[in-house]
Amino acid sequence: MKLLPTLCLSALSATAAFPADTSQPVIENVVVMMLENRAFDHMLGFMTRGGPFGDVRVDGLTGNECNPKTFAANETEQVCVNDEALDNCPYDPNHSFAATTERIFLCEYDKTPNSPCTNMSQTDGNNSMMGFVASAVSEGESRTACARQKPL
Amino acid sequence: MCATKASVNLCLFAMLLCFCVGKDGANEMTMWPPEKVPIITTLAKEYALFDRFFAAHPGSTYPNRQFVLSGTAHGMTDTGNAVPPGGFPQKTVLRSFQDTEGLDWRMYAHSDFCTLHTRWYSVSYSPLH
Repeated sequence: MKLLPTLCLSALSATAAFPADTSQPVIENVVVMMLENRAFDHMLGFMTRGGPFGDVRVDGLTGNECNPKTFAANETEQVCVNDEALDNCPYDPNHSFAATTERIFLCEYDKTPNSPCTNMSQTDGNNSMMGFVASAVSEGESRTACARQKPL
Repeated sequence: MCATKASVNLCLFAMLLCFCVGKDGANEMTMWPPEKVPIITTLAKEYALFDRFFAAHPGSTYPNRQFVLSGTAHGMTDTGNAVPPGGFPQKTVLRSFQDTEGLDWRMYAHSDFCTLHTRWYSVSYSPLH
């Protein structure tokens, strides 16, 4: 899939439809910015820490979120959130429908029985967001930039 | 161990795998502290921040763009799936605003785009054929 940074901007001029209400500021334009390929928590999740650039009201991270390292049911090793993101992502995170389903539901696509990974119409799976690390590990992804150079 | 040419190549291949692919998955859980992204966090503080939202489609670029533009991807699941001949048939959200509310709108795009894949993108009302 195409992952170069792309931006779609829509400007909706709303002057015609809304009744005048002098007690409220008049909204003249709504601008929607679509920025791809960075997760909310990645960009803004730690605003929950507060401080000059944070805000404790943001529905972001607690800092205690962890994912198991593999899909194995008996996996005990975890990777937890931290604030050490690199300036550039060392690889292009797979966000195909298959990979995203793995990440959301902690299941192996086309493999895990009775899960959204094998039954696309199943929408009541455990959407725990616990499969990000396991899915990346299964794809051979690592934090080192060198991962880009894996031999074909 | 790496005595023959074939085994040398195999060794080099194995070394590349060992040193370059850690399979640690650690990057997935790395975030930025707010002070490291002061511009976007300031924008978030000064303007509106959507911190509770739902993905219509857990997947890639093009179907997501179709959802945001028109509320459906018309069955497309991944970028690279075929676009129906003549473009997606569904009307865009903005075009619906135009038809029902008389609102005008304009779309700006930086690179290749999404909107051209629907028949109903055009300000000039003409379907894309």
